[in-house]
Amino acid sequence: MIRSVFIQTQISNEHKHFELVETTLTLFLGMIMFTTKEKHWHSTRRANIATWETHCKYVDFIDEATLSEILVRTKSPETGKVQNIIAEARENTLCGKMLSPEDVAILANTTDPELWEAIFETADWIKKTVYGNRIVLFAPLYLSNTCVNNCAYCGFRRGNRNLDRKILTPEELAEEVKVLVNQGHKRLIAVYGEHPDSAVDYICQTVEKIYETRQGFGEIRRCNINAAPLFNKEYEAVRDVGIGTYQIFQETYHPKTYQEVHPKGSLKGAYHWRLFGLHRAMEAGIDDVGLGVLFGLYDWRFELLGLLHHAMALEQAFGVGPHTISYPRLVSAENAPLTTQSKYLVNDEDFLKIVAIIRLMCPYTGSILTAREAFPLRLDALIKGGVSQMDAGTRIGVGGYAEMEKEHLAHKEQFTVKDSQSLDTFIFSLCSHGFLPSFCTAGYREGRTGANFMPLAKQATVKNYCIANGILTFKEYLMDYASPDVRNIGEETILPAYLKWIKENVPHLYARVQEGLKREEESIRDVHF
Amino acid sequence: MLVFKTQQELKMLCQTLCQEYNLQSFYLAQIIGKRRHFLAGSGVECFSGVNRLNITEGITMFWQGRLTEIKAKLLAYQLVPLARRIEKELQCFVTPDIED
Repeated sequence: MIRSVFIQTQISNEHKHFELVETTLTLFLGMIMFTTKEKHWHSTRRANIATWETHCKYVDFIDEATLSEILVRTKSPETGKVQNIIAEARENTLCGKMLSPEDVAILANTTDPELWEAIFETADWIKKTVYGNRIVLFAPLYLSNTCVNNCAYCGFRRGNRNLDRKILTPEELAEEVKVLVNQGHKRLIAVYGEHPDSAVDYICQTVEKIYETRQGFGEIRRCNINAAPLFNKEYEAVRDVGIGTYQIFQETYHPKTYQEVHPKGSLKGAYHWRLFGLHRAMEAGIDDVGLGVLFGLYDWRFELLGLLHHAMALEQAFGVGPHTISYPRLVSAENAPLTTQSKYLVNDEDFLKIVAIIRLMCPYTGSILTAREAFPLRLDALIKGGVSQMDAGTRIGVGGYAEMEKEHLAHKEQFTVKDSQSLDTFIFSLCSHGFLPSFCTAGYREGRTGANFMPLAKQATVKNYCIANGILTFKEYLMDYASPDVRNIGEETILPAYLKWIKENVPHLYARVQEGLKREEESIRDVHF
Repeated sequence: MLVFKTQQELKMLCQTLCQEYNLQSFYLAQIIGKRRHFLAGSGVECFSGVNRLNITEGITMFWQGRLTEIKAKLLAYQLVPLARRIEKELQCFVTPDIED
């Protein structure tokens, strides 16, 4: 039985391989168009990466055969088994334990709608138990779309000649940040293409620029990074400008698929270099790291097991698991045919399952859902999947925020955004469903990083600070940026409800929160715990 | 990043300070821009909000519990030599890198 499934998988992969030949040829053509500077940078870096991979001290935690076998072995699970795992996930919430690979595979193989209702309910319960009913809001900021890679699914890939290439200058960056700050944002994820012009020096300079840019009461208080894997010394430089989280998405944990969509010889083609990118970040003292998969490149069930094994490997090596997990789904990108042709595209129903399983699998981690998804699905995932962080008012074209009047800038974008409503409109929707919108960035400024943060999330007590800081930052938003409708619902309904929660659940913090709100009304900003 | 031996030493110190000053928690962090990067600590989080005082320009201390302003300042002065040593260690620490 197992052997038969393996053969089927192999045939399927080969078929897929032939389909990708044309795309791959196009990608290789893109590779030969390097400038001298790019060529030198790329070849030097590629050689250093190859040396690193040769001497890699870590053991590969993705065993393709074992993961595939677990998924086969757990097909058609018994109802009782699934119910036991749901119960176990609830117990794990209070000690931060993760589910086992077998448990995750069983959940992924569950088809009974009634059991799925129980899983969704549990995901929501876990999220509320760990973080409270608050949603942390952030904005992605694309700083560059130049890239030496040629990934089959990405609009930024080198071979895409329809894209206008751009790297923000310091002045343009300041303009972008001011637009975001004027909307009320306090937290960014800065996104960089892999290119000599947007390498580590550029990352450090731009993070410093982001932090120093102010507009009235507003400022960016936490800047997270999504960029290529670095060498240790480069991570140290990035760490030293005071970043929040460093994200690297593996895209796919399936080695063969990884090689198919990332051309051989490209920087991103180095699977193990990327797989242990966050291990190196941890070694260099970056203790908040974020995992991610681009769902739709390979079987989503396999990818979930990959994420779990990655989280387990980090915990085993450093005693600190992932700060966040992201789960972007393959969506159409300009001049990237794979984005609509992949055999593994994830439908909405399965996407909700992925979000919920991640919450049960790793109860302590932040769960990030982006505006790639349409608003109705985002709301569904929020209620059923235990999402804890979302972006809003998102523009993903480089320089896109300063050009807000344009709905989409396909010629500058990496993919297509489906939820393009404004931050204020999005906040109103959150409020009308009873969520507390939060701009909290307190944790990493109060020393709650890495090993100091983990126990709070793992013991499900971090919500005490999450709610208190959520109230204080939402109050700032209401005073400085909100529309009359949002101010109304916020002041009349949301703030009183969550203040009541603090009074009942963390009574000794209640007076301090009240005092903080009073100080904010006296025009003092950035009150936090 | 600190070597394991220093981390353990700091953890012990934080534990001792918690007992000596009857604090719920005490921890040390590196100042990196807006980030206060946790180095070592001891005690139990009591969700009353943390107090903080910079020991040097690079190292800060956080605590929960009652500590008068003067006692906190005196303690910070006592910790200056240690903080300087930590700063030096953090500056000297080089993670292994194949690139060189």
